[in-house]
Amino acid sequence: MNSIKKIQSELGKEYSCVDITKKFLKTIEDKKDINAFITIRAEALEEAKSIDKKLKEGKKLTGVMGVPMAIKDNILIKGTRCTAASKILDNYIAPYSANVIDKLEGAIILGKTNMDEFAHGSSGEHSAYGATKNPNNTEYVPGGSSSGSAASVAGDMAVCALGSDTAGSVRQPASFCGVVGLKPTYGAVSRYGLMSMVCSLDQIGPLTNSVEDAEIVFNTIKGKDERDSTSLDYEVEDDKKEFVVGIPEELINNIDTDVKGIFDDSIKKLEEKGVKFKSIKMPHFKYGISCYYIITPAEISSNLSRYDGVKFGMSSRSGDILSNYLETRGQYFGEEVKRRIMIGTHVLSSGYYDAYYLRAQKVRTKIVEDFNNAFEDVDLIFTPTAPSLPFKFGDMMDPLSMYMSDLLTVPASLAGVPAISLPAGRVGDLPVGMQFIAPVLKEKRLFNIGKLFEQC
Amino acid sequence: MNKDKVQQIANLARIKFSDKELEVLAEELSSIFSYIDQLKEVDVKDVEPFIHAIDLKNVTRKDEVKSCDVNLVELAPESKNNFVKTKPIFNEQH
Repeated sequence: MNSIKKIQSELGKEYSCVDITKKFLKTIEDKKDINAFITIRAEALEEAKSIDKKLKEGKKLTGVMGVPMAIKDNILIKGTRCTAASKILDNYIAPYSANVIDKLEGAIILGKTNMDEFAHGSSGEHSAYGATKNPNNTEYVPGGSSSGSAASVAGDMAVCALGSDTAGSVRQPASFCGVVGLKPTYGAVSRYGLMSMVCSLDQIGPLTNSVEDAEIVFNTIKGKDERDSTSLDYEVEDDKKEFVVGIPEELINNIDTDVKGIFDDSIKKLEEKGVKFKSIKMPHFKYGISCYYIITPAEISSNLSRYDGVKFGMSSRSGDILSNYLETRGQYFGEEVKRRIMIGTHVLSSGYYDAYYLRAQKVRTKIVEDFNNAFEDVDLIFTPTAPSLPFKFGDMMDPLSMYMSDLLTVPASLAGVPAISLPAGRVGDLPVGMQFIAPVLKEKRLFNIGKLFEQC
Repeated sequence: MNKDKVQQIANLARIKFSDKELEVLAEELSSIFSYIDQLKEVDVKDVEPFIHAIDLKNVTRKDEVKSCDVNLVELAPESKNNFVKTKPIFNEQH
């Protein structure tokens, strides 16, 4: 299994950075049918050469230096095409780099990964560049929206990757592909240069082979950035290594039997390691999806108004100004994107704001109160990451059923608290992930329990 | 949620749909809205709307011009003399 420290310790000894970069680029080429990447970066080999030069000068590799990585295609890298898997940005070359890309200095960025268009989806099927396949079984979806980032790590096409998580878009594909996925505390990582979807929820997070790698990537990308006013000063503090973990019983009753089996096994194994479990009440957890599918489309309809065929991206260049808007957005946006813009436009329109958006933000407060009450009693909350196993392509055609697959990941997003998905077992060749949720800024606690879980 | 209502929303959203698409959307949006209507069950009397997970202070800075090495105008579908070019906005029809 690839790991950041293993690669770094072998670089310059077993092989050069150019060698390893070529090896990963070849694997990407060999596994083209997975469709994990939208754009491959020719610059990766140049970046590898500069690492080899540093190694020859005797410089030590820190952070993620020299490590071949993959980046979700909604995160900007200056000079590299950035599509967000949408035809409306088919011709868009990023004019600047995201803050996270600056912080990953020295990493070898192999390419930009496939995703659900503008991160709207939970299966990877809503990409204008074709669906990503699950490397564990190509008849099944890899999850989404960070489908290519998860698939690239699971398929050994990158050592680690960045995705973005708005309602589970890092955690759920991590679960479906069998890798680790972290959604940091809202504000822990700068969103500068991440294409805005839902400003009050979006967070960039790592997808990795191990908890140790997730911690290394997180520590590299976190922290205050003056260009994102919601970003936070973040000093990592030591945290507890003995845990009382809460289980929201009423939610767990609604999950798939196979997933429930692995959930129960995981609890047993953790109990043997000394972890204590107790039942907790989260009475508003079940309203998460309704809340989310008001707030999210509302913010999407505002954020995606910038794609107008005038300022940047594709344009139908038709008729007068109004028909140019209508044609451009009708022609170049995908089905799910248009559906969400429509829901959002309706809930924000005159006369509906109080009934939908304002009410949803109040219910959101109730969900946050549930978390605050729970964390007075327990250190962490434990759930499966997704309520079901990965499904086959085309099996989840009804939009509402697809939205329900976010049931267990949405609440942590709404409350802004950090959560991690960890590989917990398999049903046949399909991976199943489990999720730990921690109080705000307690990523260290997630890493501690995650490392314990890896020993189970 | 009927076809006319969906067309009205589509006008606000600045998206052109075919007749067939409007019909499908009317059905899909109806089922989505009847699900999210479950929020009406929650008692939100005297509850403050959520603002942010962590208390943040308002961030201000001086409004100063900073140099920028990127020409964003070049990204526009049409430009002229370093301005973004667009169709006429003021005319008799609008």
